[in-house]
Amino acid sequence: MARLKSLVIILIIAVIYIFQSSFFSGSNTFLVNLNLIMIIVIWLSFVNSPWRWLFAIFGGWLLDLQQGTFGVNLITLVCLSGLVIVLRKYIATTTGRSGQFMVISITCLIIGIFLPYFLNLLLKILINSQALFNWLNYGSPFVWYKLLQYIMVNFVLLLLIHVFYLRRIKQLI
Amino acid sequence: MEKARKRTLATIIIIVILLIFFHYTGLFHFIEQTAVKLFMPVQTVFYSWGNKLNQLTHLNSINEENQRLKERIGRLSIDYLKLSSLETENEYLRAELDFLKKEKYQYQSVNILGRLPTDNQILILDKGASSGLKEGQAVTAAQGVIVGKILKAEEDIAYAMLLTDIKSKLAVSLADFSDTSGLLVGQTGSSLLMDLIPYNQEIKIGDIVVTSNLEESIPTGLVVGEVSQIDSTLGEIFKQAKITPFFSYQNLQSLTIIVEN
Repeated sequence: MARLKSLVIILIIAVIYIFQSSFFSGSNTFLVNLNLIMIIVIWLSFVNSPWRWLFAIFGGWLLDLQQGTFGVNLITLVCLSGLVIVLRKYIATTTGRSGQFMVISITCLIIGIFLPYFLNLLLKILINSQALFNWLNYGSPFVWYKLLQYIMVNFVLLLLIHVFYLRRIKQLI
Repeated sequence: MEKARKRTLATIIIIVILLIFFHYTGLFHFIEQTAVKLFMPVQTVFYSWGNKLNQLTHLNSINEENQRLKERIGRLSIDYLKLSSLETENEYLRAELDFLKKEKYQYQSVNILGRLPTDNQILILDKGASSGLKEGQAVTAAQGVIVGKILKAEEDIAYAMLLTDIKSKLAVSLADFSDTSGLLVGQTGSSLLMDLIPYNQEIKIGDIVVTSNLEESIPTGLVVGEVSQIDSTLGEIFKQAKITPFFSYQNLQSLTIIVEN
């Protein structure tokens, strides 16, 4: 039963990956900013789901294969998953679960933007390849309004998921 | 409980390290290539659906583009009639209209799988080095109209940078056989800028910009767009010109890569 469930989860990740990497990126609308895999990893980690690691590893692996910088997405998603668990422990819940979720979401989204850039830089130093060096020099420089747009779009979706499942969280926690 | 958690964490770290190790040593090559090939046809379909959504949400700009292209066809028809009386100019037009066939260029038709999330001006293509794609090759949207360059080619996928990317640079000249040349750079948004045009060289609105012979992997004479604005300040060494592509780069679906001559 657990194996069947894992297989279903893998299929779900594959479908989400296809939507994110092809449908959203081809739409040229605000959907381009959506990082569904990252959102789901943050959410699953927040509700302490056992499937968070599978999402982080398989989703990260697929994104890395597509983007040509292997390891960056994989490490980012696994780190984010771990970070949510750590932050859940250390961020006070005096403002309520929703306040805690907002702080964790924003922190994770910001780290989720900057960590891949640092990992790219690290990869560039570790693998001293000229081809890779040229490749890693590409990619948009930080444009603040784009970063803000990215954070807002993903944050709104995270909040929607949170509100939608609020009752379920209360049962879980 | 704590012990189980530590064990899970250790397992996750080991899996991540092994996946990265297997990738860089090539041990996972077969699995990775299979996964890429498996997803490719579905991604192509989903990208085209995404593109259709884009067309629905940008109906106004598509209508404007359509209007502009209709006007352009009208102008080109008049130009064609004027030039057809002259043998040499007629030859040039034929070359422009059927560039790839006439020049016997080898080309590969490719589909777009997606765009990079870090830079949506970089397209992911469904063919790679195994199909003859190499870094620096010209990416054309219609035969003879360049839209970008190959940035990186892996075995079965490749990455193409559109000319509108702010890091894109391309050596260009004017199609009228004059010596006017410059460097085409991408601008934020969807426009192109022809920079470093020597002040004494002539350029006027409506001139057609083509690739020059300065880039090794890019054939001369591929159409880029037309001059829509000129910026020249007295006393400056160089002039700048705004270049408008003939169609929007946002609605691209299938492309042609010029592999070799």
